[in-house]
Amino acid sequence: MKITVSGKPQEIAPGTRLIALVNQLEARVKNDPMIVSLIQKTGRSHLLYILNGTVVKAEDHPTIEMQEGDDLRYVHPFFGG
Amino acid sequence: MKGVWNKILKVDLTAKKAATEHVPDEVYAYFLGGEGLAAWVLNKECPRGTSAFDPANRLTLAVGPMQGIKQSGAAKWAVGGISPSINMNAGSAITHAFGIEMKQAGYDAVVVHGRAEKPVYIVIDDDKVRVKDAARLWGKDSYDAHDLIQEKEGDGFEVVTTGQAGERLVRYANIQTAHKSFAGRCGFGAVMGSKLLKGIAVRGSQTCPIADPMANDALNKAINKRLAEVNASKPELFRISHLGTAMATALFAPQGNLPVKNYQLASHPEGETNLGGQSYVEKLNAKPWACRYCVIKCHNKCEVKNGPYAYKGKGPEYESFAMMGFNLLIADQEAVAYAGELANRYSMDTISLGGVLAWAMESYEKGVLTQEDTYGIDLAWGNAAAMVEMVRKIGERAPGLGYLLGEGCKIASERIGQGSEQWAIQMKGQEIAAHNWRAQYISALNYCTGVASGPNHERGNSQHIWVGHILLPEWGIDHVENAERWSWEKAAERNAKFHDYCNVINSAVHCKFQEFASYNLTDLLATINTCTGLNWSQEELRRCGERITNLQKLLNIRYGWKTADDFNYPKRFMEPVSEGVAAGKIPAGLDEAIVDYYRHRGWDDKGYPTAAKLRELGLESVPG
Repeated sequence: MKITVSGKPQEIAPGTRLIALVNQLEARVKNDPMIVSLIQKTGRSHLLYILNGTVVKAEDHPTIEMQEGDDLRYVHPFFGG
Repeated sequence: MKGVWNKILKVDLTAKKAATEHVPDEVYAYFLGGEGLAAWVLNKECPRGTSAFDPANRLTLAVGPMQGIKQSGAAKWAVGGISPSINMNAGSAITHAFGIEMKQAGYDAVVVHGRAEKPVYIVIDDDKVRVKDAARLWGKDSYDAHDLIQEKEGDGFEVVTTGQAGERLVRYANIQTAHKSFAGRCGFGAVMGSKLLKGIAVRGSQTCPIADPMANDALNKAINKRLAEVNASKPELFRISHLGTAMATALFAPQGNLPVKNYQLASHPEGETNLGGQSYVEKLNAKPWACRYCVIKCHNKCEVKNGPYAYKGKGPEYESFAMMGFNLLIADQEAVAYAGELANRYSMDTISLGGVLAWAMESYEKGVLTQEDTYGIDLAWGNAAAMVEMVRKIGERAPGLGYLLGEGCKIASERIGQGSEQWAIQMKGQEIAAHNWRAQYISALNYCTGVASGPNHERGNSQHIWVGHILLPEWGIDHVENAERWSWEKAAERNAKFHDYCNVINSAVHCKFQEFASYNLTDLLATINTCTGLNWSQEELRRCGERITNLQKLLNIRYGWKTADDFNYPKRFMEPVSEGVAAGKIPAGLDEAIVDYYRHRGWDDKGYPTAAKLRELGLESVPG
């Protein structure tokens, strides 16, 4: 099944849930010093996930099953500069 | 082509005449508008040898195909010309509503040249253009002059002005609008001053047709909704409408990205406590102050109610906190905010001002400057009152050091000598913005190779890859590892893409801060296509950015750029700091990386575009 993650086409198994992709993306940025600092201070990375143009609440990540053609992006809490 | 008027207004202040000029579609298909259009004007009208304060310099205020649509971020517009800080072509972005009004008046650009006999301001009311006497405005600060023009001209006019620093040719004097937004970098306020031009008022009543209004409307609504939702979904700790860009200090500190003590140190704990988002709200009473159509609302109004720094007005942004606070070891947020507003009124860019003051403080510390030079002011690191007083001296161009510092730290250090060139943190005459090369080497490459405005963090914002996780997946930058901050391996390609990206954004014209709320290249391309009907692909959009970059490079060469300029960078960044994640990191290998960038660009090893590259981009001859 084909989806797009951060603008890049990706093949995933049917039935894959959003939480699995979120965990992959969180693992990718876990060594970033800003993310490390945020987790130390607040317990969370504060990355926001946008599925097909809509922000998905963290509590919904485990229940959402990805669909063919879905577009997933993430946004960092950073702003400015 | 839709989304543009194919028309620019040219005002000759020497002859006191205004005329319109037709601009063919090909020009927009090549350079879009905004900064690209301003570069096209220079290419056509300002030959080699034209200098910033020459009456022949063209000061271009330009919009692009996106102005007039109701999309968050589309209030942005551009200023371009030959810069007195870098003595080359440059651009600067500014926002609020002046650009929208200029578009509604029926122009894609207003191009001012010549020099008035006495101070003037320009009034543009659709097709009626008048040059008016500004004798009573001359000597006023930028806000007071702005208000007097609005009061005189009546409702509906948007106004830009420059303050006393612009009149007095401070090389980093800016242009302001609405007491809140600034074409901050590159000294275009001084270009206004050199033309004896105090301000411009514009009012328009026309709507520029776009290619697909229904699709554009639907797109705007969807984008605005998503951006607002993203912004609202962020915890209050990171919500921009609440904290302004000041929040960035807390996020940059753990990355080693802040400038501390003229880029000598890695941290300033007291500054990290005081100069950040939460104290910004609590101590400065910050409230959102949106630009037209913007859902992000990064500007803030602030108020200090009591004490020596009482004021009500524009709140400091990240760069002001960083350069006027951290960089000077000052942690008094009220003093930094007040000094920033003083600078705004005089019309001085707080990035350059912070860089210049840091040079002066280090010179004072080392005995190169003494109290005999500083009007008796104790210009010690961390002395907030001294900083405020020196802002006044520079804004007024007080004889002596105040005047000299208005020239920027390059010229000041060359005049003072005694080795002080070593701590003038500038390139090509412009002070370096608040992104630390040790925190991500790509910042070094960006500042050294930038062609759109010298060493500029918003004409090539590749630092955002690291400091803000902004990638360009549509252009192939879809993932980075943290360790790559300190690698040159893909730096040339990434840096080139971010230069081109900034060029399309600054030419479209759109606000780059929307990207922090999820705005992306897919949004930008769809918007450009629904406005213009160009129906470009991402490859064509990138090609447009590349074309603008190359035009700017050709102009750099025309106005005197030499290869050595790119390699004459501040050596301070080659001195490691001892704390934080960037401890021990220096951008060694930068010289090779610069040459690698040239090659990646299809330029020769000296940084000159090759004939083949220019042919490929259709730049053997520029249209129009």
